[in-house]
Amino acid sequence: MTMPRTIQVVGLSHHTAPVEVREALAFPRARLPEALASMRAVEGVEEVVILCTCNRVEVYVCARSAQGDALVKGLLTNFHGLSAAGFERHLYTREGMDAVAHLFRVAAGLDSMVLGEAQVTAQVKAAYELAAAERTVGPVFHRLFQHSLSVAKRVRTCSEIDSGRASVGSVAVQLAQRIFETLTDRTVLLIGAGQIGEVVLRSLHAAGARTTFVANRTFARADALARECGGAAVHFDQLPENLARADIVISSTDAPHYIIRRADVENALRARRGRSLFLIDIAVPRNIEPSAAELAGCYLYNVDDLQMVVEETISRRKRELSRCLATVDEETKKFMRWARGLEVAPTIVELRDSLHELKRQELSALLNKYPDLPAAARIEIERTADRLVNKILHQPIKALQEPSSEDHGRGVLAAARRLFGLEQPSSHPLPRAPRAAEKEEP
Amino acid sequence: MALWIIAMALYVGQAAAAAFPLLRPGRPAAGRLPYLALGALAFHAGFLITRALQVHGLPIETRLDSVALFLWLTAAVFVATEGPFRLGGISGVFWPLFSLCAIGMGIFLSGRVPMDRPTLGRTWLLLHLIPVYAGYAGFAVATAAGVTRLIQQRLLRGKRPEALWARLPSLAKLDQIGRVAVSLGFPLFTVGLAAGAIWAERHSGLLGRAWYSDPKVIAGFAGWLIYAAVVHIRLAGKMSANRAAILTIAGFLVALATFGVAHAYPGRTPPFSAPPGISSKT
Repeated sequence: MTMPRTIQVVGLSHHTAPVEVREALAFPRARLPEALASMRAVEGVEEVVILCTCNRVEVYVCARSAQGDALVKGLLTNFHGLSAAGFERHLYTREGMDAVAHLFRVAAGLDSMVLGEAQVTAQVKAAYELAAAERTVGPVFHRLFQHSLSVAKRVRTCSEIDSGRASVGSVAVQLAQRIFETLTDRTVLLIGAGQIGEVVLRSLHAAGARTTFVANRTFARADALARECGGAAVHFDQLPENLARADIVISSTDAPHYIIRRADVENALRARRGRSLFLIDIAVPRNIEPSAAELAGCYLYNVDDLQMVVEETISRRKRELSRCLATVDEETKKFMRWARGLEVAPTIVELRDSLHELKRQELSALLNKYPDLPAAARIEIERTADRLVNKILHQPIKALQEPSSEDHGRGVLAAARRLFGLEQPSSHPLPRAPRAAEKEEP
Repeated sequence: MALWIIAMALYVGQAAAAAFPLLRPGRPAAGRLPYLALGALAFHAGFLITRALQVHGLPIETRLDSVALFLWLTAAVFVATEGPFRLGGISGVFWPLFSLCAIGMGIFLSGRVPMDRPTLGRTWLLLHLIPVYAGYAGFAVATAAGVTRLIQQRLLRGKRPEALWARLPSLAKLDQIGRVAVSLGFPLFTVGLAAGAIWAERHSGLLGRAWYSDPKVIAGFAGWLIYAAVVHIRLAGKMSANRAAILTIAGFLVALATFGVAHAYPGRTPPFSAPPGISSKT
């Protein structure tokens, strides 16, 4: 009898490995087809998908071998020319139901660094589509990965796991959009080129803000950053006039005193003739006089204010986690029932055929012995025999279809085959994914 | 009356359906079709049609009829602008306020006496009543935008983490809705008032020198002055959007007061009522 197929995932993520290890084991996108093909060529491996993002490298295999982790380690070693000792301790392996649940959690963003982020769903989809294009997925992984995408959708629809913004930059963008609606025709002024300030500026730029001014003590640094965002550098002494021109001001200098006083904001608001001004003070100590927030039309947020919104979002998402995991659990069981059906279907067919053949032989012998039996009696005897066979089959088939666990299920399958004398290996019910060498010519 | 009560119940349902998503943390309020409001509008229209058939004319025989027509126009204008202009979270403010006003007016005016004997001509009726009501409908939308703006501004300035602000429209959009609604409503309201004044003077000489002693005329004129100020100040760009929102709300409160004043002190000008030739009673 052939080995049953097992779904395995071997990989590492931000939970288990530092960025140096992750980047060393990452598959360049251009070389992913090669990696998929080399893994698929290994004996016993039937289906392969490689998920490679900035936070994780995972190889999903469906194999008639329990050595999936060894195979993947071999792939990583050979492909990257590294010693297994360098990354082995960062690897994790999940098998069967655990592997399925892991993929569902990953696709739904429940295993992500930022809980509930949606980008990973698109990355799972891209990994699956690439593997499908390279013909390294078969019936199991087609079903599994499509199911993972629907699980991700269900988790997001039925919970608040992706609600709100979970980074300072995205909160700043959202606030700006609540004030100005669209950022496309808005002017952003960045004062000081600190790291968080730069992140916020880039977020606003990515959200559509086109006109950017950067003021920094070091003009060259301001100029370089402004060019990257398609803006212009301005001198520090030009701040007052630029304050009136800007709709959004980000201040992130390390100055030990206020750079923007209440009076400066008041003058700017007057010059803006009632148009709102959004001030983001992410410097510590603060750069903008806090009392400026009292002025009509001025919206002043400091780093704690933004962080408070982020923390509220994260804690809300964490509260949703148990509900999402329950959904994942439910969907995992659903998938496993399908996979189990795939595995036991040939045995059930054989079992039915075997008992019905037995019934046919015994009926034939009986009816030959009593040829004068009336037609009605013959029909009744045949019906009784059918009912008997179905009643005998009912409990074994039920046990085969509803195992209490994966291992138990395999034990039941083996026992059923042995008890009913089905020792011949079961045939594969569905077409397999072709090997790389079997691929059709384009 | 059953149609009116069903319509009110559906408006209340719509108010709850629109306000509830605003109270839930997390996901932004999704823009769904206001099915309950559409149902309410249908029953409301049924009530107006029934009344029109009863009086063989425009249903403005009683003050309740008149208010019902105004409320229907307001709700219809809001529903018509809700989708195309993506009013979103304003619904959560508009429908509760609308329901409150509608039920309050319904209770206050139900079973009251019919309006004074109508003397208005058909042309003047159309020129006076319809533009005034359409103008008020615009002001109602602007008021909802103004109230939402005040809430949104308070939330944004209060830096509240529960993120209700994320579910309400942006300040810029609310300003735009308020500006457009007042800019469209004001000319209509002006035409309606002017038509009413001309009619009052020509047909009855009811205004005369002592026009200022009529509470309804004073209230109507005060409302017009406030909206004129809002339009001009906004055009000149000399007032903060927040103050413009407050002024818009004040204007609408005066408009509501006009209804109350007109009811309590009919004065010398006849209220909005069916003219001879339109109503079967004449």
